[in-house]
Amino acid sequence: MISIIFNIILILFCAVLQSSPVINFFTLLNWIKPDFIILSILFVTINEENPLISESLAFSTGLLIDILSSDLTGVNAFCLTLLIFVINLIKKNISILRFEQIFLFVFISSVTFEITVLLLYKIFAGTEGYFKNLITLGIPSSLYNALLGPVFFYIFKAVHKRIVRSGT
Amino acid sequence: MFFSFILKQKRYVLLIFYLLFSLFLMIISSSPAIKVIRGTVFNIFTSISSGFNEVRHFILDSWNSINTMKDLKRELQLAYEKINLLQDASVTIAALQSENNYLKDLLGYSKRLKWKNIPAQIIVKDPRYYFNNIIVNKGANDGVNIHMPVIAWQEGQSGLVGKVIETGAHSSKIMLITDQNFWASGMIEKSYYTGLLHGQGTRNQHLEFVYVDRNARANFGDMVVTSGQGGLFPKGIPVGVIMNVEDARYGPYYKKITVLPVVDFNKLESVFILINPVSEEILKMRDSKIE
Repeated sequence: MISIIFNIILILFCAVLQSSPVINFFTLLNWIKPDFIILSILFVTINEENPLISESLAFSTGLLIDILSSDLTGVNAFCLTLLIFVINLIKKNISILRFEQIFLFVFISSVTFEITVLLLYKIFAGTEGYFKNLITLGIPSSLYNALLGPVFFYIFKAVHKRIVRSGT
Repeated sequence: MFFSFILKQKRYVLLIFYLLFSLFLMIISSSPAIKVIRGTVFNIFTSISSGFNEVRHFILDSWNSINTMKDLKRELQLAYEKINLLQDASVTIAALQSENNYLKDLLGYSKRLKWKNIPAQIIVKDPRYYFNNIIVNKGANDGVNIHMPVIAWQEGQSGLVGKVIETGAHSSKIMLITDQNFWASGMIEKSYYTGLLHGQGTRNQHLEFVYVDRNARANFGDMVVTSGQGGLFPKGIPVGVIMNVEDARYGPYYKKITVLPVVDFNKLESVFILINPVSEEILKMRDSKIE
């Protein structure tokens, strides 16, 4: 139970951080910004044993992003739920412990998420510049996420361990 | 039998529910019911975010206070040794005076504006990068309505920020002029030639000024303002300065002009939402059409 509450607070904290002016400190070249929300939900997915919880959190987080970011409700919720479902399916067969493993995991997950989000925007909202957005925004930001991923995962893991241990 | 199957396969049932529900939301995204739900979640999150901002300000203020205390201690020690303290004090007074002047300037600007306006503070920035939106702390209860123009006052210059696209009770979402979905009618201030201003997305912090007559006099550094055509934005609000002029690829009769916004969106903290009488008229017309 403590773990679930920790996960919810972590995602909410990352969402608030992501949408606050604090994000300016992490923005590279004035336009590449990391996605703490994705990082937190990916961390929750590999850390949470019950896939139902991570998928439900992914759906709720996606809806929150939809409300804050775009006019089209459901796009981020759909893509994030699907992504987390796929990760839950394969996570037992992959190792996500070392720096390069976390880097690859975060990068592939982020890029997949960006591709599907942009595709749905194009289909449902007719948003222009699919490839331009993907190449100039989606991929650089995914790469940035991947670079920050290992650091954030270690921090999240350490905080999670401490809180769960103190709770039991 | 059916329920036992659902219980056994609850993960897959829930997944299918989530996916179908998301698709359903995408399809009915513009319906009034969804807007109500969006508004409610919007309000809850902005309340949390405002709380976070308060905490952030408290931490920053505390941090600044600690630093100030350290500085003061050091200065006090120096004061015993040197008379330069007076100079330091005068610097501090000058800084306070400049801050005071800035705040007076903002207040004066708000009063000087020829349109009724609602000053607002930015509380949330867009968490994703495909859209350029901000959320401010004034909403429908404060008189904010969708389509209202938003401007800012920075370093002695006013500039167009964007327009309101969504309102909650105490907060509103504003689409910035740099958003790729932003379009507005613009005019070169010196030569009166008009065209359409179009945002270019997060990466490019400039706008394109398209469909400008090929013969238009447009020079580097000329100011582009809103033309007032279309009714949403009042005439004469500065948008940006011309950075580049070239012949358009889409037709032999037009120029394509790159415009750098006068507002620095990274430094933006407060804005003014204009209660534009024209936009109210348009809203009334729209509402009467719906009825």
